[in-house]
Amino acid sequence: MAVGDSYRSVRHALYYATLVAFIALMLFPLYWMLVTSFKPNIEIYRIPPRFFPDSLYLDHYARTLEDGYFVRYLWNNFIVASITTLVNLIAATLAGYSISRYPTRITAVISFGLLSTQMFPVVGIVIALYTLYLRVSMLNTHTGLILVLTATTIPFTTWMLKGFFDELPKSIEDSAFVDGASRLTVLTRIALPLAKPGLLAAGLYSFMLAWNDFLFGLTLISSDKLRTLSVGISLRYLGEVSYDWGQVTTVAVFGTVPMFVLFFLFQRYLVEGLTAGAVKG
Amino acid sequence: MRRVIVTMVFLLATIGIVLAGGRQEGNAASVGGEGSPFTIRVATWAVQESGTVPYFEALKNDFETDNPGIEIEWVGFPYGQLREQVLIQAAAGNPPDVVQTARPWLPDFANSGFFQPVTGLLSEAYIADIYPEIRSDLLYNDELYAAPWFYGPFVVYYNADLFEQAGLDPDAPPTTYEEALEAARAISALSDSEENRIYGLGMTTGSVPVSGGAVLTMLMSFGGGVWDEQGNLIIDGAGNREALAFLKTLHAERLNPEGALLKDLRNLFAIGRLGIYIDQTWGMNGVMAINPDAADYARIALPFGTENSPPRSTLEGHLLTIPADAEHPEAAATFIEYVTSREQLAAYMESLPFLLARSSLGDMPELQESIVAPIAAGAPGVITAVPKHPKMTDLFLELTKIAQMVTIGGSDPAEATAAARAWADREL
Amino acid sequence: MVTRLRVRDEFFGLALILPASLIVGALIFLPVAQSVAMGFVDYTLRRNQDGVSWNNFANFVYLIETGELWNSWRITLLFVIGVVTALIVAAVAMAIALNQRIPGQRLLRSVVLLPWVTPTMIAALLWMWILQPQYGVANFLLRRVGMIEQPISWLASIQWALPSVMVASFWRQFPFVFIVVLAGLQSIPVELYESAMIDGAGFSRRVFSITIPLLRNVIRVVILMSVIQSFRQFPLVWTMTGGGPIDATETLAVLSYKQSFVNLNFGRGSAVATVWLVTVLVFSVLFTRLVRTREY
Repeated sequence: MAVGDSYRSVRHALYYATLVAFIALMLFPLYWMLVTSFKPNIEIYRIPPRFFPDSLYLDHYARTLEDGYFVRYLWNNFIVASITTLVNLIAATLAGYSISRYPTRITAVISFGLLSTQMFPVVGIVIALYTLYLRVSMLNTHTGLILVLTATTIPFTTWMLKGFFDELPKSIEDSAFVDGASRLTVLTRIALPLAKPGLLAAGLYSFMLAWNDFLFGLTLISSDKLRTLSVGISLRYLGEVSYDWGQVTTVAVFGTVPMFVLFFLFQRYLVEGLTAGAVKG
Repeated sequence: MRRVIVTMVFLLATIGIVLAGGRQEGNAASVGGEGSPFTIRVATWAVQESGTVPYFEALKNDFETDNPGIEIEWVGFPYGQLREQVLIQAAAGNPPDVVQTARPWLPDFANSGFFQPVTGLLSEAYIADIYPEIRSDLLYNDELYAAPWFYGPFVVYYNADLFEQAGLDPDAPPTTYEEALEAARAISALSDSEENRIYGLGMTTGSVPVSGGAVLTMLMSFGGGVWDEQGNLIIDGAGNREALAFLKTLHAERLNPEGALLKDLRNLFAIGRLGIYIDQTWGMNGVMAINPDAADYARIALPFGTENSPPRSTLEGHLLTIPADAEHPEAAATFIEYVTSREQLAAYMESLPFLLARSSLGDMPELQESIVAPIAAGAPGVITAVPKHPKMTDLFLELTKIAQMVTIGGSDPAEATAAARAWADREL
Repeated sequence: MVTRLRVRDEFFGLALILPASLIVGALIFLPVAQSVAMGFVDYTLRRNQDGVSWNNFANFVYLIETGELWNSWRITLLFVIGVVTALIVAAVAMAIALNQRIPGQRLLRSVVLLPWVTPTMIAALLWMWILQPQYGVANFLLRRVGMIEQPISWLASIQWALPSVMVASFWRQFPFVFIVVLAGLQSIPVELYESAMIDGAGFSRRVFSITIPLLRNVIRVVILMSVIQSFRQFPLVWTMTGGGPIDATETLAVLSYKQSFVNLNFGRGSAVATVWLVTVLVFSVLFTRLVRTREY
């Protein structure tokens, strides 16, 4: 009995050690980014490195905030990601609900079509997209960028929401029909409120993807006033001549922190939404 | 049923309104007609790079004051993507008016047909003023396709402090690769205060086109290259094999950081862990960004030759080109002459060390004060024209590949050149 | 009456799916179709392009004859299989671990997700910084613990470049896979475990006879999603290695980009993209079929 106990506690210890080691490994890059951004250049390149800086060096931050561009990139990115999320949610809710509640042969084809677009490389379509946008005068507009980002995220969010609607008991909706409600009322008054966790999850997902965009923002936007984050970083801090790691890690911190905050606020819903959506869908 | 339709329309309208909420800005609409003000679009990667921002802001102001009626719109792209993005815009019929062009991109630009010769647009006197060595490297089908903004060959930067510590004379730097190897051995015997390794001689071999230019510079200085003067392929010739053997030695003795990009070399040089390295003149800007004190020990020299062949270098530089479908080619030419004027270059030189491509500017006092002054006189002589082959970017990448083969790949120089030959026979 | 109702239902359903289909159709489907078509013609980027015509698979033949396609295909598969396997194993293990009642469980769960909110571009830079051979922290730490003797040039080494990029890709993708698996775990009724415990089943017994089988569906979905994600992983590879050294990290995405934008040969670039599309499509169809048939 005693042997079994100690065996179990050793196993437990091992188990926790692995867990902690893995989490530490996952977090270390972010920690390192943070630490680097608070070191003066001469410290940054020192080997052996200092893992806990003894003083906070704030010049990189001051410089980043001073030049003002960066704040604009952040703001643009935020606008683009938010509106993308909104448009995405409207379109994906309708589509997801349609596939779940009114399945026909055509919707089946469409939903497969939607998913298959995920399998084509983005780099393959930028030229065609640029030409299209030029023709309809949508180059260099946030609208254009938002539309294409919406298009790239819709397939997955539709799928997620479809799974979510599948999970909702149909009987509530049926009794509403019996009471004489129209299809639309049922959708907006009954199904939508119930699908709130699913909507939050899908919204968070599309926000992340839009926030992450590089290639579309690069190709479709050429005015500095409208630039988004990743392109802005690449434009200003990955120049021709140097990697200024102090500066790069600083802007990285700036680009990541707003997402951390958002994420902590909504993370709970993501798990909930996915539980019903992607998991069972 | 009607309700459904009404709702659909409503929903689409909502989407429309939401979208309209996203801020819009149309393309710079230029008003046609004589004399009415218009905007030229200038594609550049430097406009947003920290370090050159103040200069570009002043430039826009100065230009618009001196050229009433013409406004500048900067179209900024990251250095690594500008070439592709400009070509996408050109292919869609919407190119900028002026394009800042790194020298390796010129063949692609000229060959694509999306760019026009600047011969008829710039004045004859201006063109005649460009150093002939440089001008001849910018010709394509005997037409001049670009104006040099500024240039520089690949040069040698070395650390005078490390030279002294290694018992070398900082005032008599090596002039050949053989001498450089000796110096590199002496330097890498040193180590820094934390016992970290110091590299003797940095040669970039990373997988980017500009490293290909550096490799080609080295090949040419060993008497090799891609084509000889008659245009025959000599990519598997003796000169290249010797050059690669040299690189292999550097690698075997761990004198050169593996597969480094120029940016990596600059950082190492900035922190005092690299004795000698080969870079573009303005690479010093990257060094200073990391460590401003590098100015105290950084020295410059012309690129190395070998015992049997003189130093040579590809032309490196920032060029200015005009797309074929540019809306305002004349104004573009005005812009080009403006930014390459004595006053503007003098101002730009404060933030970037470079050489001037026109003989009438040779006596500029600003040049004499710059770090590049010691090589200004000798530089045009080492520039060697490289044919404008349509596959130039690909070729440069292939050259980095053979450099990687003999170093990290462990191949024989002969194997590498044979592979390059096979590639060239197929592609060029 | 019934048929009329059904017609109206269909109409309503189609009306709902219309906005999404229009957006995706115009902005993704058309360009993709155009791009696939480009793969079968000579199309290089130049002005005054003459009419393009069918070229008898010349783009594909070229890519096969030079061996580039095969090389990239192989690298992509290595990349995808490696990353996805690691992802699934780690995510299932972590999700099981963090679904227990352990102190700090909530916080741990949240922090594990952090890499996901790091934009890919930043993730690539971050890993380049960590893996920097001369002053990067990875070499320092590995030498300190004695795992390596000499610093390794991770991204400039033929053996290590691909694994390094894979690690970065794993790091960026892990949180999403983890959260989906965790969501799946939470949908397993607790009663199942309770009755198993009453029957005396140990921890590993419970994992292998309840958790894993019930997670089957989730794991299937997650595999499919992360395979597609990994195939698309372009910015990371391109920023970190540019496909080098000596093509060691030249995935299909990189090859397609290089053919299109470095060589300006959009015909070949599109041909690569088409091969990719077919590969992923075939995989997803086969995978979905195989896994489903085995289930019943």
